[in-house]
Amino acid sequence: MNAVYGEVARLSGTGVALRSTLVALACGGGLPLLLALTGPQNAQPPMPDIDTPEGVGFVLGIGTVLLFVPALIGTIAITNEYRHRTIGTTFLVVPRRGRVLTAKLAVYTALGIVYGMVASLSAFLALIVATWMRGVPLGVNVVNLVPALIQLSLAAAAYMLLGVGIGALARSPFVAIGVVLGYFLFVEYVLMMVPGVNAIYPFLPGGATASLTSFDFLTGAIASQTALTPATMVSPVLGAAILVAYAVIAAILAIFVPLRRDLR
Amino acid sequence: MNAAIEVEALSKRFGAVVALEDVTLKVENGRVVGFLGPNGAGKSTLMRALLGLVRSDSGEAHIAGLPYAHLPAPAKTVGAVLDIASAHPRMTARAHLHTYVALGGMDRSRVDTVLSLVGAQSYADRRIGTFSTGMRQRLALATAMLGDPDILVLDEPSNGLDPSGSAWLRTFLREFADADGAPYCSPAMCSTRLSTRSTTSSSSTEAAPSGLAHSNDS
Repeated sequence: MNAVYGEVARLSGTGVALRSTLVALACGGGLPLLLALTGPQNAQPPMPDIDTPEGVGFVLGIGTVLLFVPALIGTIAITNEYRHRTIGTTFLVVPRRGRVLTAKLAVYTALGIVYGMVASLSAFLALIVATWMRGVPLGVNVVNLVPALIQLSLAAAAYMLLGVGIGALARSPFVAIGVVLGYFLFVEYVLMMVPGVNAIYPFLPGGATASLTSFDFLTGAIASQTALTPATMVSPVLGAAILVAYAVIAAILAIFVPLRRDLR
Repeated sequence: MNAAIEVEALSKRFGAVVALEDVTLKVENGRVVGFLGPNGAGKSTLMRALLGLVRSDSGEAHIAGLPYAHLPAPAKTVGAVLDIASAHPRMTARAHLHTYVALGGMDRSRVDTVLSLVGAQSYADRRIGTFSTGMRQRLALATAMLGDPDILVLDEPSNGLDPSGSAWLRTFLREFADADGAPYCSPAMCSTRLSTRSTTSSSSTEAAPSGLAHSNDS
């Protein structure tokens, strides 16, 4: 448990925990608030307004396009250990590296869940504020929103772990950040537009998240503009399983790659 | 009784570069030992191999009779300063020390003790990013002393210290060794310190097979 306490102290001391929470508030609520205020019916293609269940689902789902942010936080936090050379001192205090790396994973999983909960709460508040400002009713009962908000929290934790895995592999913050941003903001979208290849989208992290949250706006929008057949989303359960599989692979990489690495 | 540090036929290659070749040495308690050698001779690599940060290709390195990773309480046995830059610039010195106290399961009161020991109380709550090299060096030494270790392994410990800081460090290491600890340091700085002290104490230098040399000052 000492390794866990140490990692919590590091998160607190470096300000990562506080900044992660503030970013979750901004990213979780920002885009949904903007969309809910302007009205999903004004999107291209037009979507139902927030006084319908579909409209509420769309507004919450749009928040998933910013899930690369927790991945980025995980990546930066891990690569900073190499950048500032604190990983060596850490392994001197706890030479059994597996303990340190497992503790890091546990702490970042928890941070990812907290990020997701804060982002979800922020998105929920954005919806409430938008309905109040526009004078329209919310399309779903608040209780019915809980599953969607939990899904978003778990997806954020999975993305945080993906970021941790990428950071552990790359070590260089610039390379790792480039990989995260390049993949989530460019490569996945390009793959969605390549005929034939777009069929694998539901099995990529972004597609799995879209399946989990039943958010198929992006695939639909791209299909409508490119005449491509939109990729068929998998079930939310399978989407969740795919995301968990990615998180597990990232966790294995994050533990085993640095285990035997020379720290020169 | 086991030697404080014992290295036997240690070798390490990084690709085509031979960093260590068949290095053997023994350091008893109560001694200050300095490593001498040109840049790239492998002094730092040997220290990192001793502390388990670099995996040797062959040979053994033991501290108090055990490989570093097998020590029951490593931070309480060995304190090490290998890289003075190893601190997050956004952290305060106190938060930095609290992190390692928590990681090592040490008593929180050690933070104030080591801050006082290295004379860093006045900037304990400043961000490390604002520190001078000398302040970072003292923080690194404070980190090494957190576990109240019996053995110190220091890589170029006086880098960045002003003359009074260097004098303080010499006194600190001598007192540590006199208390039956076994400080052990590498570096350019050590060669200066040892040669100065050689007028009042015996010293010897022997070349290691890799071209690495170490000097004993008893």
